[in-house]
Amino acid sequence: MGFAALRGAAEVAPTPEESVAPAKMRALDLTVRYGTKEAIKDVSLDVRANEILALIGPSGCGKSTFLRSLNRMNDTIDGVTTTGAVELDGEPIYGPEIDPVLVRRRVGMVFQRSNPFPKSIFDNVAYGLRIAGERDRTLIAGNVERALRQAALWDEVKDRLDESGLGLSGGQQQRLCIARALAVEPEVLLMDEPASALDPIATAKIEDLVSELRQLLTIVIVTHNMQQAARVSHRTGFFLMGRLVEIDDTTNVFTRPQQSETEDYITGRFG
Amino acid sequence: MGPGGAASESMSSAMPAAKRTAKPARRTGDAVVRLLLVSCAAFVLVTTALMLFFVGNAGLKGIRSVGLTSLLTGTLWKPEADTFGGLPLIFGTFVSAAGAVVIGAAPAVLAAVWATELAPKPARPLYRRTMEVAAAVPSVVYGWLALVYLIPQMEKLAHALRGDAATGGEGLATAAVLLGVMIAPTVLLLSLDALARVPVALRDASAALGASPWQTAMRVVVPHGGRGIVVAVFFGFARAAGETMAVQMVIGGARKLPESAFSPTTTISTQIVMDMQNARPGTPASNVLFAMSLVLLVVAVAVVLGTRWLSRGTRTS
Repeated sequence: MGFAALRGAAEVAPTPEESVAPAKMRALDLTVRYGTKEAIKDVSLDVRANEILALIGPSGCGKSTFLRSLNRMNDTIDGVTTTGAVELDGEPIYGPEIDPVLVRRRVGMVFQRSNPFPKSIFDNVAYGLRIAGERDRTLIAGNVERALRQAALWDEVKDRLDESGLGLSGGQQQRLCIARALAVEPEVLLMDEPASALDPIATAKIEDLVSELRQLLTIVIVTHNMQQAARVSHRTGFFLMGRLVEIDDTTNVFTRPQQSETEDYITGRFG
Repeated sequence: MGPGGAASESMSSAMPAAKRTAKPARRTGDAVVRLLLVSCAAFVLVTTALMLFFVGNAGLKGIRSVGLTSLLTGTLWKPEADTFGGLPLIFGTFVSAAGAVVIGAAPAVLAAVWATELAPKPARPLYRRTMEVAAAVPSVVYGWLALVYLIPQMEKLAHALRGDAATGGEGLATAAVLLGVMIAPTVLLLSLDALARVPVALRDASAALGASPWQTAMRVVVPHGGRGIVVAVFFGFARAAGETMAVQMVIGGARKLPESAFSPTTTISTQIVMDMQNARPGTPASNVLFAMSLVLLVVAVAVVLGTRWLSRGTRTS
């Protein structure tokens, strides 16, 4: 699906605050184990189309593991077993007949630490298109520019696209990684604490960007920063010891949580 | 020393004076150990320096007696007539080593990519152990195996390709194949290390963009580990160029440039072994062998400096 189609859909569909949007992704009784240790236990939740869903919780609560299960990145780790189901547009993404490579083309990811390839800025953004078999130079160049604009990086790098991505500042590198993920036009973008290694100004830029991107796609963002979750997300899920304790509209989670554990966490009693 | 040194100094000065001087026995022990270690370090350094001095000194004498140009470009090597044209030796050394790189090192690098990126995970350590064993097999064993099994096959191949019944199985190509087999495990192991140093974050980034394991390997892991792989190939070349025993068993020992890939020829190291009995110390024949040793030494130094140069700045991640 192209961005034009997604934009159209966003204009027609009601926003998540107004009414319940259809589930873009759905986890059903998802359990993830590292060896025998359960990192995620029986988690079920919906990710609604074009929402920004924040996942919060203390370190080791399983929120990043859950995020990685949404595009099968846990497959790359030895000894991880996943049971239960994850659906994308109602179709399962786990199963012997499913190619994780194709899942990841639809569900992109931005990591905690920016990880640009030691290649030029242009080649970083073009990477996903090229591995998908795109050969048309004009089309690649057009997509690179679009993605860099969407990531609010174009004006800063347009005159040095041939320079190494590693020469950018930390915040720019992270926006480059976002542009790289956007270039392949994913339907869902998973962000694993994308601003945790950045200074406040760079963090603010990333947060603005996340809010903008919601027009284009569905975003699930893991953060340990509760103010960040409150600022950018529509809904928030609270994880504790591998379980999803509570998920609701962000305002509700932060002002009148239903579970005492959630309240303890957001009021800073632990974590 | 940095701030740490200053801190420990202030701590020790804060201790009572009696304690600082209380253990003369241990301090004597320290001095003895230190002396021992310094002596060992110095010993290794001195032997290396002496080796370089003697090879260099005698080698330069050899070069002066023959002339650098004729030593490097002369095609007739006839010590019994005091004729020392080193080109066949140099040619044989470099071409057999280069052939070994093509035959052995290139597949070894690809095998390393397979073993780190694509092989079933339980098989990976087993594969590595096997290659460690292969790298540790003495060269004479490789030479003996080649003598018995490789030479007859190369003879058949030569006959099939050239239709020349006079060509035997010993020669340049046989040496290159043998050296290729011999350096492959070393190149593979060094390549495995180079590929393993590629950060997981880059593999993750590639996978998350929808790259297949093979695409990640060829587009991210290999380019990132590229310098380390080149270093591995350099070492493979150096090992092939210096190999003596196994090459001597299969190259044929003809002191002339080969007419074809299958012709017998010689290398620097094997020729030194052949001629050393008749080269009495101090004679031109002896000095010329030192001069050829100097050529090998220059190759070794070039490899070390080259790998140093390539390795600069690779510890960035």
